[in-house]
Formats: sequence, C-alpha cells, structure tokens
Amino acid sequence: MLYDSALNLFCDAPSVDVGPCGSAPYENPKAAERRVAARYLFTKPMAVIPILPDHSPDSAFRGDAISSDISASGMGFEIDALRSFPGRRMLIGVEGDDGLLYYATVEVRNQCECEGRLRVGVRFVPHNNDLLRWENLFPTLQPCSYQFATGLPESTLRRWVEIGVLEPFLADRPLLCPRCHALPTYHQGCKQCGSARLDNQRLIHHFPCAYVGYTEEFDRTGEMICPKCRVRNLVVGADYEYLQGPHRCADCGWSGTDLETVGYCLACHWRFTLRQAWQAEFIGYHVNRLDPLAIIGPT
Amino acid sequence: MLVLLLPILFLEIPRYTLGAVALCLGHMLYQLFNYCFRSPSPCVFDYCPTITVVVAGLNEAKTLPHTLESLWGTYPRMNIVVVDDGSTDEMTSIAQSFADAHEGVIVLSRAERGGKSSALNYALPFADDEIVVCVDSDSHLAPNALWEIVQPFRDPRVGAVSGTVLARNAFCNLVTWLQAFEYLRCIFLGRMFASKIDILGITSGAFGAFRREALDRVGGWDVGPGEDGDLTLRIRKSGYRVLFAPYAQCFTNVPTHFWRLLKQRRRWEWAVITFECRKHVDMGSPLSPNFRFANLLLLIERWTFNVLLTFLFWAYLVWLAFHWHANVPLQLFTYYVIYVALDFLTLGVILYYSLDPKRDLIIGLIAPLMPFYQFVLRAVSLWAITEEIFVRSSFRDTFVPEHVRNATWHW
Repeated sequence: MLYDSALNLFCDAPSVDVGPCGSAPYENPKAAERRVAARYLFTKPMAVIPILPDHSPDSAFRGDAISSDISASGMGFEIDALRSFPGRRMLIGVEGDDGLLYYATVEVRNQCECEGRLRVGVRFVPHNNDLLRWENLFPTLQPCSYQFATGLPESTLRRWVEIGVLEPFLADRPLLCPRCHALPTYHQGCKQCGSARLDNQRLIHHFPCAYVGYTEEFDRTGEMICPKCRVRNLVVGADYEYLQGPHRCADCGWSGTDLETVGYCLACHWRFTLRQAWQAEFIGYHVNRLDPLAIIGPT
Repeated sequence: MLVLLLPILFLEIPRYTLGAVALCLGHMLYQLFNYCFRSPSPCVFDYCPTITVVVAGLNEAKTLPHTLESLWGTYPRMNIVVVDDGSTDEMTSIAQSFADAHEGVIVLSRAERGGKSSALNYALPFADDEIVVCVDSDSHLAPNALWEIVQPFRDPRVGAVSGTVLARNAFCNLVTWLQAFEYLRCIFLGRMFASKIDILGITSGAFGAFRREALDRVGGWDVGPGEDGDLTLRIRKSGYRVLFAPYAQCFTNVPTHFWRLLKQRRRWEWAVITFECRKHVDMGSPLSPNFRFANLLLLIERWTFNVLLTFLFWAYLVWLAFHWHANVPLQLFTYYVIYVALDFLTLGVILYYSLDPKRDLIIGLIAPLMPFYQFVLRAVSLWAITEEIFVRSSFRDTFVPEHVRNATWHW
C-alpha cells in the first residue's frame, strides 16, 4: 500500500521543472551519459550509498545529491562532496513527496566534474543484478538443499537495516524438519509408524442381529452371509447398511480412526509428527522501491 | 388362599432382605475371621488391563461433556469411543471437540439411527483392548469406578462384570427419590447377593464391562430392547461367569416423570418374557452345551419372581376383593408394616456397605412409601408381561428404529 502511494506520488513529480509526465522528451546537451531512452528533467533530493563488493553499504562514502534527469533505464544526478566513487554499483534513494526515500540499485556509467560538482550518470541494473530483488530480501527455497535462505547474508542485510534502507518484518512461521530445517511434505498418516499407505475399510451393519463387522467377514464365499447369525443372501438396504470403518496401515498393521499429521523431510528423509516439527521464523526485509516508469508516466 | 399368599409372604416380600441380611452376616463373620486369624491385607488395584470405554448415545449433547470428564484420566490404559447414533443435536461436535483436546478419544457418527445395540457393536472394530466398558452418555462415574470394575477380570472365567448404577438426580422429586431407594435395594444390594450365589443375569447398560474375547464369541449385542440382559445371558451360556462390582459406581439420571418411568419399566418387564422365557430358555436345559446349574437357578428365580409371583399377587388381590371381611384392612396394614420394617432392615445392610452412608440414609427415609410404589410397579409388570406374552409388544417399541425392528426376529 505504501509502495502504491509512492508510485502515485512519483507520477506527479516531474511537473516541477518541465512539463507533466508523458510530455516530449527533454534533450539535455550537457548530459554525460549516452542513454538511448528518452530522458526527462527530474530534480529531487536524493541519497547515494555505494555498495561494497560484499554487498554491504559503504557508509563512509554515503552522500546527498540532487537528481537532474531520469529515463526508463537510468538517471543523472549531481553531488558536491565527492571527487569520484570507489565502485561502480550503488544504491540511490530518491526523496518522494511524502518525505520517504525510494531506493533503486544503479550502476555508474560515467562521472565527470563540472563547475566544482561531480556529475554522475547511472543506469538501473537488471533484475538479476539488483541488490534489492525479492530473493535477496526474503527467505526462498534453495533447490539443492531444500532449505530456506535469503540471497544476501544476514549480517549484510542487518547493515542495510542499520542505515534505514531496509525494514525487517516477520514474514512467516513455517514448520520445517526438526533435524535439518529443510522443507518437508505433510500427509495424514499412520499414528504408529507415520506411513501414508492406509486402507479405509468398510463395515457392514446387519439389521436383524445388530452385528457390525468388516465387509470381508460377510463376503467370504462370494455370497453375503452374516458371520453372526448365518443368514444368507443379504440385500443391501433391506438387510444391511455400510458404515465407515477404521483406517488400517499397510506397513505396520495399525488400525484406528485418528490419523496423525506426519511430516516427511525432502532433504534428509526424516519422518516426524506435526508436534515435533521445528517452527522457524522467516524474517523478510521491506524496502521502498523506486519505479522510474511510474515517475515518467505513460509515453 | 394360602397357595396364593405363602409365596408372596415368604418369597416376594423378603426377596432382597433375607439375602442382604445373610450377605451382611456372612461378611461380618468373614471380617471377624480375618481380624482374628489373618494379617490385614491392603486393598489395592493390582490388575490393570487395557480398556475401551464405549459411550453410545442419541441426542445427549447436554450430558455428554460431564460423562467424558468423569471418565478422562481415571484409568491409565484407556481409550474412549463415543458413538453418536444419528443425533440431531450437537452431540458429535461436542464429542469431537473433546477428542481434539484429549488423546485416545475416537468419535464415530452415524447419519441414520441404527439402535443402541448396533451403536455399541459399531465401536467394537475400533477397540482392540482386552476389556470393553459401556457407559451411558447421561451418566458419570464415581472415583475409581473403572479400577473397581476391571478387578474381577483377573479371573479368566469372568466374561462380564456389572457396575452399580445409582440415581444421580435422587432428590429431584418424589419419583426420583423412590427410584433412588429402589436402585440401592435392587442393584447395589440385590446384585451383590445374586453375584455371590452366581445367578446374576444382568449387566447394566449404563455401566457394565465385558471381556473382549467373550464379546467376540457371542457376536456383540443383539437387537433390543433389553439388549444388556440379553448379552449377559448369552455370555453366561457361552460358559463365562458374570460378577458384580458393588463399588464400581455410576450415577445416572433416572426418569423424572411418572409416565416415563412406567414406560421404562414396561420395557424392562418385556425383556423377562422375551429373553428368559423365550430366547434363552434353553439355558435351563441340562442337554444344552455349557449347562450350569446356576443358569437354571437364574431362570427359576426370574420365572418365579418376575412372572409367577406377579400373577399370584394380583390373583390374591382379586381373591381378597371377593372374600372381603372386616379384618382385611388390618391384614393389609400388617403386611404394610412388615414390608416397611423389612425395608428398614435392608436399609441397615445398605448403610453397612455404603460408600456414602449419609446420602443413602436420607434416600432410605422414603421406605414408608415404597409399598405404594411397588404396588404401582406390580401393576405395570402385570400389564407388560401379559401384553408381551400375548402380543409381543416389545417389537413395536420405538426404542429400536423401524427398519431394524422390521428386519429382526420377533422372539
């Protein structure tokens, strides 16, 4: 919801310096980068946080800047304090009308000094290279190990939390394998051994003698005969009715009505009851994302 | 006249009293002997077989939670099977919520009513334990009742054990108070005596225990009404003994309205004709397999007290009406005084054995009204026995669903 409101907020933003979003592209003769997409004048205060090779924030080089223009694939901004950035990747946070910063991962394409300020042209990185992509911020299933993990180490994410970029939240409390914490499957199984190989047997209630027994007891010779009173040629409805019988385990022979919810670990093949399952706490990280297309508006 | 009167005077009136006094004196002598010649042995429950408690009921949503709470946790190796025999109230959901919160509780629900016998039989495929205990869904058990009822099964010859059924709502009104004293006299004391001389022919449907092996041998319950007595007789016929556990006590709601009481007693009296006089009359034949003299004695006791003396009693009254004279009221008053005196003597024996003497003493204070109560029940008995002998009314009773009673045999 917050994100939606942010998008609405940015739809109105370009009206500050140039025409409204969707007006004719603005040709900036001083633009340093070579972007092929149409760019728009866009002036907003913003924060720039370089990203270290281990994906943690380089707080020492964090600086405030003013954006100059934006396009679907990148943007330009000017920053006072820095001579040059130490690395190519950085996180930019553009201030919205609500005062919040909206972040995007960018890559420096070019930078030059102009009138005592550093002018930087950046490109929005593709999804697979994005620091803020969903897989990095939320525990997702690792196909090889069947375990859940975030794309970035916990310590790195905590550093981003410390500088206010990410906000942790309890995303889920799943029940995982108590032995290896991997993903299990769950089924209704035998209370004794946990097997899923169960037969649901049917019972017959013979009206005249009130006997209730398994269907096999009645149908031993191909003819329906009550094992208690020996009456032959029974007719369903008139002489007897079917009742639901207990479940019987094909593996251990257990019989009963109450089935157990049994977990089966896909990684270590451990079988356990629901009460034994390990309850994990999935912490996800929320970020206000910058959406350049929403800022530009329909073209 | 003496032919009519003597059996009533010497058999009917002191039926329970003489047995009870003899039992009590015997017990006292036994205790004295133990005190003088043996070291006292502590009473311990050292036999603990696995049990399945079957609670079958129809539209018992109100009373079921109390019943289940009284059962739960009172015995270590216990499973509970609740059978809802086609209820239209919340019985299944209440039982299911109890089962969700308590381990070892199974709930079986039938869409259509099949009768109490089939409801109890329905529980058997779900019970693998050594002993099956039946408890009515409108009853609750006294502490240690389950422990008490399983102890006689230590003897492998025992196939069924009857518990004591007492009135839970004893002081609800006069009808329940009278029944409460009757239950103390006939069930608590009467069955104690019958069990001692091995002629116990009934295991209460409200609280009875059965060896699983014995149930399998006889095929479980047959169609009612009177299915509890019928099963007990079949277990006896198959060679097992039937005992009574006086301190395995169960409190049940007795009918609070007079007409309901009459309907219940009518049903009970039918069973005497249906089972003791027709279906299981072969028990008394020395030619039948597993014949025991005790079985013959049991039949003779039933035929005498429940059938013969009922007719004799009314024949005597008719005779008295036709030979009325000035001394008849005094004569009847004398009978009344003797009856009440014997009832108080019975009360003394009840108090000797009682677990709750204060309550039982208060219940016993109704004794002066018991002759009138018994008189009414005698009338019901005559009516029920006569109609069952001639028109087999039991198979028209709504206790059994129509589709079942149409299909079953009319003994």
